[in-house]
Amino acid sequence: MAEFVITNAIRRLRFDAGEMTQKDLAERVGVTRQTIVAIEAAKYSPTLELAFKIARAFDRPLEEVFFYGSKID
Amino acid sequence: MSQEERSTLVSIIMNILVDAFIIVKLYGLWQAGAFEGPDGLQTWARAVLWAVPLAIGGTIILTILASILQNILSGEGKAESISDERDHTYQLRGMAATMIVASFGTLGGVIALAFGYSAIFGLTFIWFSMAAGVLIGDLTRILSYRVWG
Repeated sequence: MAEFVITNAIRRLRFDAGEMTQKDLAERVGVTRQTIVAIEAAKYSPTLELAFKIARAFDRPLEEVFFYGSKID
Repeated sequence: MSQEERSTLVSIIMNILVDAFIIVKLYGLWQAGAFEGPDGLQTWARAVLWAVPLAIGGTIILTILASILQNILSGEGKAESISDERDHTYQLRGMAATMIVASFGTLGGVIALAFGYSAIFGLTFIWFSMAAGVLIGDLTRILSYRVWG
């Protein structure tokens, strides 16, 4: 059975947004830098509210930031 | 390392130290026969109550030391002092683990009393199952931060 995970494009979006640092993004959405690190690495799935906040920080719709798909090893 | 993660590590270290202290103290008293007689329970309670000021004082000191050490090692100045939804999620996960272990331990202690073990044994069993529960809860939190996500 395929394992599904939530992945994201945060790293690329940060780069596109003038190389925004993880710390900057964390401050914008009100979490610790460690939480952004964990989300980027797909080790932690954010709540819907935080996901929306992150998408809003990049001025993108949610589906352009987060993806739900099968795990690729 | 976030403030919450650091606090969890401090808690683990403190729990191990305090539990070790209580084990040594109780063992010494037990060998000296201090739990026998009508004052046995009172002696036990006084010995175990030492854990409270020790844990509070030790946690304050260790938290300050850990904070200074982290600031020196990371060179980032003041560490992030907010806790967020990830911290809360892992906190709940840790609390669930604590509750499971402590509940089974309490039940075990009551069962031991029901089967004729002494009150000292039953209370000690319950006390250490609580301590084990806290330790396992903290370990669950650290593993959540570091391994499970």
